[in-house]
Amino acid sequence: MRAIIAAVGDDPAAPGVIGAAVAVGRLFAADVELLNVREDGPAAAAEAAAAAAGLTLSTLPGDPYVALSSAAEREDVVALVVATGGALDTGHRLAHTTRRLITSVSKPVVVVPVGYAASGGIARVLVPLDGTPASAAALRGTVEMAAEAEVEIVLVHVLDPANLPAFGDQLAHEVRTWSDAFVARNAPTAHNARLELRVGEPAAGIEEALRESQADLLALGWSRELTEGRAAVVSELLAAAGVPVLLTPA
Amino acid sequence: MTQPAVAVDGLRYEALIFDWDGTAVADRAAGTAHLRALVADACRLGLDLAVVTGTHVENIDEQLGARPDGPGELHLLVNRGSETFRVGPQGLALVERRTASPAEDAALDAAAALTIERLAQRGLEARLVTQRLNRRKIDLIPEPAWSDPPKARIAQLLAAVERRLGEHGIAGLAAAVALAQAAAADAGLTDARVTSDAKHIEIGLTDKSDAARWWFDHLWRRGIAPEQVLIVGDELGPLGGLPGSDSMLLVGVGARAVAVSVGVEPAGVPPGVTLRGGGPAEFARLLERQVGLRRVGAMPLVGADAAWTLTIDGADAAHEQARESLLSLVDGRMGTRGSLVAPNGASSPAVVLAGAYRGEGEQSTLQPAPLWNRLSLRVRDAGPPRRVLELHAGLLWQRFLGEADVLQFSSFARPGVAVLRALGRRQALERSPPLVVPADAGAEVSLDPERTLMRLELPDGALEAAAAQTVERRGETALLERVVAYTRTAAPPGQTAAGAAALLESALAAGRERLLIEHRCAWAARWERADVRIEGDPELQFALRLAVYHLMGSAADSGEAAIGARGLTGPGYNGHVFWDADVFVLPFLAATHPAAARAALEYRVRRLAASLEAARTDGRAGARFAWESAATGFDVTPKVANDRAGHQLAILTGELEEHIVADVAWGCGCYLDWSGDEEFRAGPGRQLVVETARYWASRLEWDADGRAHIRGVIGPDEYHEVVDDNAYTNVMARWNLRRAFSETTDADVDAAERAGWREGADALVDGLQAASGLYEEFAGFFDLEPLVIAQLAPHRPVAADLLIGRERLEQAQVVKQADVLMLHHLVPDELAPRSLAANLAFYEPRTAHGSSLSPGVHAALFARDGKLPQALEALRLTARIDLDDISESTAGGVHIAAMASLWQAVVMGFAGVRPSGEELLLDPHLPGSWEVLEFPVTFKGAMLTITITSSETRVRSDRPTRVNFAGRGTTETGPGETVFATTELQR
Repeated sequence: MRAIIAAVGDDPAAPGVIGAAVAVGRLFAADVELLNVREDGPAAAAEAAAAAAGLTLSTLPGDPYVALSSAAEREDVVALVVATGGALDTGHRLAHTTRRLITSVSKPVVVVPVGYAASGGIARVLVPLDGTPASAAALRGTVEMAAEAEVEIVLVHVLDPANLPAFGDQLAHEVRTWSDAFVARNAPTAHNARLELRVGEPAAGIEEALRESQADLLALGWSRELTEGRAAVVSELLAAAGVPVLLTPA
Repeated sequence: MTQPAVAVDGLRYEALIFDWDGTAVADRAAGTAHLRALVADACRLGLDLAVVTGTHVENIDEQLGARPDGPGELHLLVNRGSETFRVGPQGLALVERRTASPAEDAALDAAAALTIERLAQRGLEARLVTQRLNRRKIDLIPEPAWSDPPKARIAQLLAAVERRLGEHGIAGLAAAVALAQAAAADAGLTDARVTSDAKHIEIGLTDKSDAARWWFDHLWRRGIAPEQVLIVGDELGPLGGLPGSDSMLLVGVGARAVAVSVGVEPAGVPPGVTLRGGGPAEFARLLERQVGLRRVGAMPLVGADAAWTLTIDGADAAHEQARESLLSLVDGRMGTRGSLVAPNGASSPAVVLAGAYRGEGEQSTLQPAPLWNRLSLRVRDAGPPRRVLELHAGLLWQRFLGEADVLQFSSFARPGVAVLRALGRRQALERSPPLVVPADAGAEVSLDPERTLMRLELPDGALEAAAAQTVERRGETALLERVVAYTRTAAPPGQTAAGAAALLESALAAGRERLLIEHRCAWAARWERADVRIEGDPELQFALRLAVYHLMGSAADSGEAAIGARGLTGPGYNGHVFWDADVFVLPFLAATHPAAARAALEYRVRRLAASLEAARTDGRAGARFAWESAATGFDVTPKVANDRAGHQLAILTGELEEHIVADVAWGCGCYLDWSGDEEFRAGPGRQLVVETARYWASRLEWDADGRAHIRGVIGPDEYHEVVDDNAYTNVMARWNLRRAFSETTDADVDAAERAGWREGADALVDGLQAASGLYEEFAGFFDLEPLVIAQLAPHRPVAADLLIGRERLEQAQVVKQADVLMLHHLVPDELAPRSLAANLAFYEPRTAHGSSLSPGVHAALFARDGKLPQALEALRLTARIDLDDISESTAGGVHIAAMASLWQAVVMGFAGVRPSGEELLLDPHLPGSWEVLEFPVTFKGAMLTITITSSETRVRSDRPTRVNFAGRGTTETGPGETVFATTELQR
């Protein structure tokens, strides 16, 4: 059995987290476990959201970070779903607990934005690839999983203006030939995937592709470091994406 | 220096050269029935043999008595390197004989007499025993006891001779030879070959090294590398302080062969030579072993010369598809990507046939053909795979250690026939089907249950494949042999693959060894007339060889040759035919293999009707060739595409890049200028030039001042669309009109029409600014924002359209690729004299090299302008385009036109070779780092080899040819060699 842990807080984000967990669960072919961790008081909002989704909510006492990271490392757990604002914390773009979880948990973590309302399953996933072997390796599993689940895969690559490809013999053919080669190098199992190209700042390019593609999920590979100067693109996208972001450790 | 000694048994060699006396036979009376049978078997199984000996041919032929019937050859290299005979079913045929001049004969006599006299002065009696062809033989020990010593007693003979010499104050055999050498020099023989077999001293004009040199050259012309040759002798080690007579087989490239001695070798053998001993009996065992290996289908040895092989170890997913393109097997009609034969997720295996398109209009693309190169190997347990593409022989090897060895080729002698031989794990080979339907076959496929016949329907017929496969079990291993034939047919659906089956049957009848030999010979013959040799730059040398390999394999030499932008190496650019074929690839073909250039033109000739119709549809006269062409000849250029910034753009090239019309005519003129093919000139060639000229005549717009314009076009600089009076388009159109005028008379074409061509040509504006000597790329170009690429990017090539956006680009003096400068490359005579330097200085810094076609042309122009550092920089960039996958799109196939531009840069740029009327222009500029630049060209039927060094240029021609060296006027050269010094002409 495979399981996904959804960290359901006692806050307005709860329905979105549960909806995202259910959708991602289908992608991962895993069951969804809803977990509420609290130090005191009732969890009325969380319980109501779970009931609305027809799922059971488990509650655990203690420190949310400790309990969730411990649950995520269980052998059967394939991913963790958390709200941008964290399991219990509210009012921050990327709350302290969420930040700690995504930088320490070794499993993929799905970060659900504030105000997210699931509208069914995941039909389309956007997978940004920076063209490095590390990025390709980090997202290989995601791509294979999406292909297996017959989810449409949209790859996006944002070209750095300072390092543009040499030559562009005949635009109509060159972009296609180059794109085919890029997909073969970076996502060889993404059969029938579409590649979107952009030029400029990576985060802006990905955001644009996300908007235009209307993807339901953004999949990012990353190094699990959010210290200054690291993962600026991930930080920006976590702040800006209106859809769940699947963070896969490289 | 020879190689370290290597194992001999178990390795299959492609050729074997052996000494006669002491090696093949104990003496001249020995029976040879067994040897004769072995020689016949070896030749029948494809092994090339050569006997090398000092004696005359009758002695050997009578004793051996072999009459082999190929496909392996038997040569007798006799008279110590002076004569070569080929032995066939009908007997002996003289191939080559070195004949001494009367003066040389007199000198040989004098040298022998002087030697005998000088020995006599020391009190030693020596006798002249024979006066053989080109040599004199002196007996140092004319005593009855040593009248005819057997080879087995060589040590005793040597001791006796040295004792005799010592008794007369001569310090051994080496001293006696030195004495003879001095005598020969005194007699006027400057390059005498003095040898000794202990009993005799021979003074001659040739020796065994000449025989070996001839034979290794001959083998190279049969596609056999020295590493694939076995040398067997009995005197490879020193004798009396002198090199053994058989060691002369190891000189030059012979040092790369594997050498074995079956002799006594009293002083041992040189490093790298294997001493087996055992005399003729051991030699017979060696030959038996080679025959046995061939009987069981053993794999040939892989060529090992780094200058001729592309070796890829492992399977790096990130680069796999680009490597598959580089490793492609090509035969002019068919291309097979060099994919690993075992399944691999990162791979993109493909087989394509030139001109076999599926789909229509802009959807037309090369039809993926059935795959003949798939094996069901279990590679997970095997070691990392190794692939070696042997360029000279067109062979691809794959080794999966512990699983299988695989040899593949796409027959250059029988285009459309592919051969795969695999030796490996039986289970894997037994379950490997002969043909596999490609995943993206798309078309309607019919396949028989045995998977040996396949047919894919195309809009204009079908693509058929027929295969035969055998798997011979040998315990846990097996030998798989697969032969596949591909054809295109116009036969309606439902018919069997008759054409492919007939081609297959013919190939099977030839047999596996003959197929291999004829394929190697075909490649070697093409290389003989195309290889460009650069001494002093190994990296560039290899890149050139790889380019020439793919260029030769990109075009058939009969019928029609549709040369797509990626040749026959991948699906990129849908196999569409652009100007790349006419102005980049065709000059190479015209200068090296005119028949292939003719086939490339035939592709255009057969699409003339469609081009006439296209012009009519546009309301023009003549022929409007398509910017992108596939099966029908109507334009197949896509109409929209996404750029790399994600913007959807209208593609206007199909509509506006009209210079293709003149490019086709230029290709035609180029072929005529190189070949002098009068039949083509009088027929389809004239038609092509005339109909394209008619198009331009109808395309001109006349202003009130009587000047003619061509408005609303795209030139080669595709950064600027819909421009007026593009210099490239106008000047090429002018050239086209003038060429049509000169290729016709009033008897062929109405006089008024011809006059109109000349009038139009003279009136066409070309953008020349008289004061500066600059040509304006198009009307208004000089008013655009002045920019040089260095202001935009730290390096080139760069995609300037992405860098600064198309809007600004259109308003800036930023050029995608050579446009005005392309004229200096193609039609310099149409331009103002000495205008290259000014235009090169102006345009080159403004050129982004946004096209892979650009750097090669600039390399050629820099070289012609004497700016060699810049020329070399551009040349090196061109050389690495595919090898380093600079464009990150080599996965779709190699950039065949960029490869052609590499050849053009070297031959037309650095060597300055260009046909002009009846003479060949030659104006070399050799970089200091290049010691020698040598290449062949075929000019008006003459075979020329041009060798350029820093001090001189040698032109070797097989017939009278006019050469204009460095603009110094016409020199009649050939037959023979003419030497041009850098400072003055010499004959």
